[in-house]
Amino acid sequence: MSGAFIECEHSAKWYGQIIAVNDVSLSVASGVTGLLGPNGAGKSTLLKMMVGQLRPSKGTVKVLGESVWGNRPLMRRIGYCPEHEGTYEDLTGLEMVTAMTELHGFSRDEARARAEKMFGMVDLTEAMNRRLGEYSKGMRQRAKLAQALAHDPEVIFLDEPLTGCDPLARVRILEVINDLAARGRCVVVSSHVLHEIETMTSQILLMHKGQLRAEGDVHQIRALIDAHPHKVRVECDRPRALAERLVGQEHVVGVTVDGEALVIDTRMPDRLYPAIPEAARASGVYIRALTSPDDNMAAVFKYLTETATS
Amino acid sequence: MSGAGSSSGKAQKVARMAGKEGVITDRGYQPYSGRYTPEASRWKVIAARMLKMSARQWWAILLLIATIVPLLISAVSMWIMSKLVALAPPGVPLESPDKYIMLPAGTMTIAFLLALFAGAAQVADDARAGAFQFYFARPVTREQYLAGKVVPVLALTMFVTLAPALLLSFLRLALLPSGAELLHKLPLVGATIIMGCVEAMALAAPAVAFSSLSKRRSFVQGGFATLYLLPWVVGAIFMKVSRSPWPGVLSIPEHLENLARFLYRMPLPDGQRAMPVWVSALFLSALVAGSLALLRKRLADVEVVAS
Repeated sequence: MSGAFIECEHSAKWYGQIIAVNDVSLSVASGVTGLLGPNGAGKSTLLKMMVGQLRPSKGTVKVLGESVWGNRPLMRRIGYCPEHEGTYEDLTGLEMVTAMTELHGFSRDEARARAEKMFGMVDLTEAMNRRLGEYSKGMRQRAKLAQALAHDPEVIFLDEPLTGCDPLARVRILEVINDLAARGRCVVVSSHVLHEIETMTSQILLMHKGQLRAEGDVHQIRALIDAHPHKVRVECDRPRALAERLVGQEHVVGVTVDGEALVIDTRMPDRLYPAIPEAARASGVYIRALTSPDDNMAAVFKYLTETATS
Repeated sequence: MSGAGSSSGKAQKVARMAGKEGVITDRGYQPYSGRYTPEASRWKVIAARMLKMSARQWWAILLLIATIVPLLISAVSMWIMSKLVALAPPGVPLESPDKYIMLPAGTMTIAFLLALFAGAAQVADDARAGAFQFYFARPVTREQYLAGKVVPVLALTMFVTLAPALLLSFLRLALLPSGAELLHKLPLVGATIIMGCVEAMALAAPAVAFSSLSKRRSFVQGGFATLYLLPWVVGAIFMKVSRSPWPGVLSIPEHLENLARFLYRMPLPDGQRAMPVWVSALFLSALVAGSLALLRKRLADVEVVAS
């Protein structure tokens, strides 16, 4: 395999006049990849194209090197945890996951054994014989995750898997996702909550208004965004003294004193970082902490979506 | 010694480093090497779950138990009529006890209600809840899904249309006084099986087809009930007024009864006329085929959009 588990080439999906996904080309390797974007960005549509539930209006979507639409044998190698419930309230969790695993072609005994193992994996063994109608939202999410994983797929798509989860369920689901990535699986997690993705991965696909705005490591993407200066926050005892030293340097485009901190705007962070301790030593300033508040997903997300809007 | 010690220490260091960095861990995917079940049997998984779920519903339990009532009434009536026929002198006009096997009183209503409750929920509930996302993320064809949805409704409906009639036909044979008459009446069993199957299909297929037209179960149930009841009621009124069988040409119960009379060779009551049986056969065939075609069309190449 070339390394890409998922490949989209100029993929688009439209419904009449509405373009849900617009000319998206991307490739996804193993590990966890976050599919980010605000509500209505086209994440779920793209995800459904990747799992073969929507036919691309244009372009191709390949998973494990094969076109996914109408490719039933490929479904055995894909696991999908949809955002919406779609479960039968009168069935027990175990019955539902067993039936869904049987539909992948496993015998009833094998499917049941796999379902039980998955319930153990998502910490739901005690509740697996209860009706789904009695499950909390977090339990349903974990049951949905179990049905997506019971047939041991190579590529897993999780659409908003943490929605409505209590902290314990959230921790367990994150552990499962990280474990899948550690075992070489390709996991695509869709979410509009940035910090959720940030706890799982730095690899992102950022969607906005149906278009793929960015793809890759969030920190590298941030470094490539020249339109917005990077912010570096220095917590120190005398921020004004430090500001005096730094403001004349050509890579500094602005400084702001924020209480006991100095916020420096720069377009060349690589040159700024070594300059800060030098300036602190020269001015006798004691630095307590140094952070980059916008070198994170929230900032990248904001910049990219703002650019798209403008 | 020191050289050897140095060499050994270097080897240990290399080994430690290998332990940390140099060992390649196989994270490769290990595909399932066991046997898969035949793809054509997937529908059974869906059907089994649907039956299991339906069997847990109060209305299913109630209606299935209620089937005993028409069975008992028909059995007692048939037993009395059989005795009367045996005791009556030749030439006295008495109704044939066979008529109690033909559509035992009330079973068609129970079968209709079962089809209404079970059938209307099948696709509509899945569409509303978003269950397609689960089914079609698996190697399941639309046809297998449809079979898995139609068969449970058919099985439930057939339990009502076939089981009581079959028991009654066996009772009828058991009540016959001679072996010759038993042989003569043996085709009753065949007629009962055909009629039970036709009746179940004529009720189950349109009920499930209707359920593919809307996500709202009440719309689906309303639509199917209208399809069944309106032509029947309106047809019956106009048939009485006009003394013609044709106003009932769109009535499912009318055609079922017409077909049953033909299969059981039951004469019409005095003064009544019936449509030709081929019309009923054609109507019922078209109803079942049209329902299945509609289902197929609704789900063929369906794209699964979020509910």
